[in-house]
Amino acid sequence: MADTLQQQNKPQICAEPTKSFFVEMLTRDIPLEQAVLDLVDNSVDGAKAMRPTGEQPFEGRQVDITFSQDGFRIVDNCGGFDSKAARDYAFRFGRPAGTPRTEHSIGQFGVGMKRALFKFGNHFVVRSATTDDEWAVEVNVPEWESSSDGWYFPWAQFTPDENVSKARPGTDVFVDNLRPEVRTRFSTRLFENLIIGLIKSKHRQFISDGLSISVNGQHLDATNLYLLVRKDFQPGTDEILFQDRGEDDVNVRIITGIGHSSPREAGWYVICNGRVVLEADRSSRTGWGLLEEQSDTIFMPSFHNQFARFRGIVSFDSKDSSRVPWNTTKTDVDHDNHVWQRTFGRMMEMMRPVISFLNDLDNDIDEHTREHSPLLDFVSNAESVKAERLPARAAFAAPARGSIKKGQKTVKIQYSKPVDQVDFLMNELSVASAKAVGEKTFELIFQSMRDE
Amino acid sequence: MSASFRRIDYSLRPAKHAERRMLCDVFRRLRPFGRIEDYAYVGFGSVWFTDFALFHRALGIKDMVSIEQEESAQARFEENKPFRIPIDFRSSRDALPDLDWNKKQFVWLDYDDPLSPDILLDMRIVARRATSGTALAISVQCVRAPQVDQADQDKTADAPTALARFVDEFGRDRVPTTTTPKQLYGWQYGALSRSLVAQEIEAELASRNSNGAAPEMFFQPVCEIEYEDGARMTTLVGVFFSADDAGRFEACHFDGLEFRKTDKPVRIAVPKLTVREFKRLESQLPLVPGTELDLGSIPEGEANRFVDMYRYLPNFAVLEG
Repeated sequence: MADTLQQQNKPQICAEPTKSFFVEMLTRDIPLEQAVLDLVDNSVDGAKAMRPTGEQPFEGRQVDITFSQDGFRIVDNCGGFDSKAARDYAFRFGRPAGTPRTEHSIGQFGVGMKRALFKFGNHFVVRSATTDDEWAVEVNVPEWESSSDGWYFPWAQFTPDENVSKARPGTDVFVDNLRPEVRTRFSTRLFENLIIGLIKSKHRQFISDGLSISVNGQHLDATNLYLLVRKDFQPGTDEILFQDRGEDDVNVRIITGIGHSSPREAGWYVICNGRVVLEADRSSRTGWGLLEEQSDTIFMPSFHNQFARFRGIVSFDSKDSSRVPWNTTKTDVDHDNHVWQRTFGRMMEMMRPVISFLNDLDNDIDEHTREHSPLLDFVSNAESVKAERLPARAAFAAPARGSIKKGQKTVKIQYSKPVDQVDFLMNELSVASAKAVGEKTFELIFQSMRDE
Repeated sequence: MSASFRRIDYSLRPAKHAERRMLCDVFRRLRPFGRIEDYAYVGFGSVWFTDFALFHRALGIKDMVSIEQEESAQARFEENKPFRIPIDFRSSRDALPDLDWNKKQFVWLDYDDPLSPDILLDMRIVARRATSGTALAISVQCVRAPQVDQADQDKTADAPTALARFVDEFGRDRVPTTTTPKQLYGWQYGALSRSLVAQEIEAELASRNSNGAAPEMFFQPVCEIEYEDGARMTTLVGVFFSADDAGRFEACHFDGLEFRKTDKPVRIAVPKLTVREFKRLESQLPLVPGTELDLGSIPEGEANRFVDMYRYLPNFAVLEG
């Protein structure tokens, strides 16, 4: 039938996307801050492609980000890429077959840079130099969208400067003529704080490995993940290796344990090739509030502040970045990824004993108060250890409730009194809370009656 | 808002008195945006209504609203109010959205409490709605962050620090990573509070301005004040104006405010002087250029404080016998 229609010699039906439609669709599905992180990911991949070694493999590599209402710039000295790479794949939407790939890369989808450029503004210049090549591209987006010259970006004159040259190979991305909604956000301190916080945590491993990142002139240090350890008290750790026929291996490492009490830091951290995808996640994505499908019984409780000490870390690592379980914006896990599915069960197994322990801890505090709970005293005097320094495989270990020598037996007293009377005593006793009034008055009356 | 009206006689707070007069000078300069008497004043009048009385008498403002969340003494508030001022007995969070935001306003949110996320949400309510020419003053207590006391009281060995609690309370995006623990105390805490307020307004304006259609709205701080009548307090005063009204804002000439400092906050320091010393200094002011004050036995520091502030200081005396 197709042949019959072809023979009628009609012109073909055009289904080619317009450029402006494409740009709108591409930029709409990513939050602004994630688009900034995508560009940092590109720099990290550049640094990874330099095949670094040693304790601090990224030592000397530098990424400087500046933004304001006038424009956005990210400059790195992470090796740059040559004009052939620029021409053949770096500016293509999506990654053509046969594209050379960086092992363990974190920017595998081939959209990050373009998406960010279009998301930010209407004019951009990308300059890059390797040790033996240099080039620049400059695009005026409205002109490019309205031209009928096809999907090509024009080369521009490359002038070496202190940021990028053959002597200092790297990439310089500059965007101005910002979109109105981007311009207003780039000018706020809240957005700057947001970007700094995100990079510190999402790229923490690369910063720990020596990568120097600055945002608007402020040098960033890494946010480390710590777990509490002492004798007879240690996190559970495990490693799983997925070897699937014809595919690159995926190494998975899982850690579950106890940290300092901090509701904002509690939860699961999911890390793919070193890039944090989920941070302190307390949603059903990582098992919180999971119901047993068959019986509707609760398999895992929803997050509650009594779990503010829970820390779970799961890291996936593979040469082939399409094997690790992240979505294209790197803001969530890909639940359909079978590596994720096969790992998830083990994560839940390792989460259960920690949750049980935290329930015990909560009961112990309830019985003895925070000041006198032997279990809380045991936990809070443990040592903080960086997640990276934990042994490869160990079972979660923690003391059973009641196994620790109790201090004095205590009982909790609770009562209500008129506010003005409590205010009066707060003032008279120079204390700052109603609770302190209760304790202080008890101590005073106890002392005076005991000594009578 | 805690019920500080039960503890403090507002009319006897000299630094507060000076601050009110300074705000009066700021408001008076908004003339390029329209007739001052046509502005509306919104404040937390408490039972004293001292600010209302001043702005009514000095600026001729008639449209005034007092927001009062203290419900327990409603009758007392009603009995004390002068000038038929309507009182909205709700929290600022509930009352602010219902103001007539088509009018230009002087809004003075004089919280008794230290900065909280709730106060920042109030800032967003105002920034979302304020019309060009609206002035906003916000005062918060800044003795030390409440998180300092929380940390002191928590005896757990690995208890979170005051700063960690502060970040937890306000969120990572609001607290710059460069913040240090000592910024949770005293005047530095005041400066931190003001900057959190300013950045919150800035962020709300960014989203208000994001459609690119209406003329862009700005918030420009005009002055920062620090004072102490018992508890340390700080105030940020600024003006909302649209891009179209940038010329009017310039025409207000806030740089001409006598008390204003360009690079640091105004610190209201009430000089400790006798009535006789008061009179002696006053007779020489305003100082003729090129001349020096004849101080007599008055300590120079106290005299300088007086010279800086005398237009704003109260004249009270206790009447005895």
